[in-house]
Amino acid sequence: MKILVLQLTRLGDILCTMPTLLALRRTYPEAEIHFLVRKRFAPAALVTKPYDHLWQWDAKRLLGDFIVGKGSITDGITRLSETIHQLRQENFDKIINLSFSPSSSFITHLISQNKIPTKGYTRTEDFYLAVPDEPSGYVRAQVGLDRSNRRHIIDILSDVAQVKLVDSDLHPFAIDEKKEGIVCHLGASRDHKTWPSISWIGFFNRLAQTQNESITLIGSNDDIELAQEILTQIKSDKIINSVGKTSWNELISILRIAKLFIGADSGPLHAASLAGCKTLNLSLGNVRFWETGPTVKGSRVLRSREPQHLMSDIVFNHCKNMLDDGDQFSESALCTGESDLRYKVYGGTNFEPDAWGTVHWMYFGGPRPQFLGDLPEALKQIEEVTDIAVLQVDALKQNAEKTEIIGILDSLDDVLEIMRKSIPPISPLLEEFRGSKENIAPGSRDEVFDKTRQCYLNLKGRVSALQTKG
Amino acid sequence: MSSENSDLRQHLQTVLSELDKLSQQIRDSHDFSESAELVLCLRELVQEQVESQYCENFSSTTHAAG
Repeated sequence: MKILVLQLTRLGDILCTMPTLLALRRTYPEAEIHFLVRKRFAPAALVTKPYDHLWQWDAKRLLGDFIVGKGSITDGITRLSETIHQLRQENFDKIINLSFSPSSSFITHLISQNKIPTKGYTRTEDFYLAVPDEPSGYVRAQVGLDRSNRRHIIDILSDVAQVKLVDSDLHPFAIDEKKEGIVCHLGASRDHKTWPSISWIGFFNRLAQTQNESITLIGSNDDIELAQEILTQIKSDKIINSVGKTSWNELISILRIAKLFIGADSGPLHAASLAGCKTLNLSLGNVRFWETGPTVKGSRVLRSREPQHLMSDIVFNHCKNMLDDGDQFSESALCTGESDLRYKVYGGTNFEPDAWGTVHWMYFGGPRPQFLGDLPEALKQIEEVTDIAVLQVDALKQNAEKTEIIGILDSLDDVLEIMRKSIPPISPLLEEFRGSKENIAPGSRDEVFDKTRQCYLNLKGRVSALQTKG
Repeated sequence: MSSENSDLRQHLQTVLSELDKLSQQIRDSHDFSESAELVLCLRELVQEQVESQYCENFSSTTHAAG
């Protein structure tokens, strides 16, 4: 069997895909696994090679002329076509797209031509988005910022690929030896995720005064200036500056023997998880640690939407407590090592509220959430809207000339959309409804009506179940 | 933003506008050929390039496809 796995998003996502690739290799030992990543991030795909062939999607070659300000669309299409045909010639038996992006759905469809079994986003014959499996539908409806998913992206990717992860998939480089030293990643891919230099300085000064552990600074070339700025303010012979000096494999070698990794939500954090290195995650800015935090049991997450609001004293206290194998978890989320829900939150006002209770009940068999206050009334209103919508769909199906009904249905959807945006606890219900409605593929008139009707009925079913007493 | 980046952004936006027009024509004409799909795919690739070059507001690495 020949399997193609696509991961065409970013560096961190490639590292988060490694456990799924390892599980695929374990599950299908005879399979020939091909892995397609963007060339720019390909070095991250080389840290472990649970595949037989690495394909590099060369955006610069495909779009190079556009990027330098010249070139025609025809040239771009010709190059794209060549790449697709090259991949097609491999005659894959199965394609797993773990990218969840519009372009990857087209690429998947262009390779598969509806002839190859596919998991993950693809396209219908008439080019609408096709979400062929439940885990991908879950991603579309519930995953991402400002949503309520708490399932880790590593687990979701394995759900899409239909493989079960074991510890060795998550931490393939972990070693069971005495570990020493702290590794710190100073930067992050975005400013809003980066802890300020002044905070690092305060932290390092306290650490150097009280701990004997060596401190290795790591990072990309982009972090060199930040490292120099910090180092000029710290007097310590315990700090080793390796910023801009390590390959991914060297980074893994450093992390697998380190006692602790400290850093923001970025590529090195995922490398630390692969290396089995306990992590203190500085979860800053617009990120969702539930989905992308550390996976080594005993790791902790400190959350702050504003990077400067995370005090260096708090980071120091948690760092010290982790080095001492302590259990002072307050104001943090602790990685439990459980695959269902990887973190347990220990107090603190920094953890944004969400509607996980609703999502947990909808998708994972959790207890039915108890809605109080105005929420039962809101559910009743949703039920009324769905009742009217079903009647209108039926009327339009019977008489196509009643075009005014389309306007009524649009207005009803507008009401549901307003409720989705303004009533967070019920938003997962309406996210699911919206996703399923958008996913209705073009078909015969009757098919489209029936599927639209079913979307409203499914929403009504969810709402009714929530209202049931007992 | 440097003037070089500004020029590039403008150029990519122009390419994107052209691809948007072509994509609309494809949708309107119900052209479901492979060459039509390549145009739609290229449009998304250019869109991603615009976002990754200039936008810092990627909602998620797992953002839903449209």
